[in-house]
Amino acid sequence: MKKFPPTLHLFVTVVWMIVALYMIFLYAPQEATMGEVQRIFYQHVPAGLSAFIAYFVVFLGSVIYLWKRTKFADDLAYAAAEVGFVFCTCVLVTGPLWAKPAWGIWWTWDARLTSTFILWLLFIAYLMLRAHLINPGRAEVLGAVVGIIGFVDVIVDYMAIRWWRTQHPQPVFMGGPGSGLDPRMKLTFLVSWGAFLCLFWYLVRQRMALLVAQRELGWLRRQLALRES
Amino acid sequence: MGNNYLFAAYALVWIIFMVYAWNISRRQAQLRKDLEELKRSQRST
Repeated sequence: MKKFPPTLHLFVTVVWMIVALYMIFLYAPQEATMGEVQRIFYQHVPAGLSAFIAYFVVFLGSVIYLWKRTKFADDLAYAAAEVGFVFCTCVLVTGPLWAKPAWGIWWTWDARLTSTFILWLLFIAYLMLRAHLINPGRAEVLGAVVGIIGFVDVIVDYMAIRWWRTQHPQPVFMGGPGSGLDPRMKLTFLVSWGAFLCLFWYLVRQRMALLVAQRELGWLRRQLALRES
Repeated sequence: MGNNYLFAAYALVWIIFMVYAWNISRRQAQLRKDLEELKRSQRST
């Protein structure tokens, strides 16, 4: 981690994002039935997959924290939850903006949309728990429990379009027969997803550094107060 | 019409990321300020 300085990480993210935007608007062909609005897909799906990964990191960090009680695992889970919430918000913003011209409605309570909305609420629940419980150790443990139990929703959310008939489009990757993308669209999607993951990881690193610094400052304050008393 | 939705989607996503990045940098700045205050108060005692 230390071998990849944050400034370089930010630079790589920005360049990658610019390349992704170039490919989205100038390289990827226009979709035949939906037209230009289909290009929302290149932000909506990578943001959604990144939100899934974020919750998986929360789950993993929570399990490791409950098992080994390492602060690093807890910081990782907390940071991933906050960044995951941002990505999940992007999914819930871009989805309706695609749905309105494609379906004629902004929203419908089908299995995929509802489970994604629940995922967003889970991120909020986790963050509220961490922000408002001040008992040392209690917020970490309860947060980890939410992080683990909530992972069930990620599985349901991911599988929803495979298990049930939904208004939401069927998967284009690892879907049934007839699914798939034009090679240029596929490459554009992969580059865009890579850029989103690079941004996700950069933000998680920044947030973790902030958590560590806040804890160290708190510790310093307590030491000084003890010395003065 | 479709272009309006496309523009809105891309603009909103970048606004969300910018607001979050600004929020993190604001918290980092606050932390630096707190640390400086702590150092100053230590020097004065």
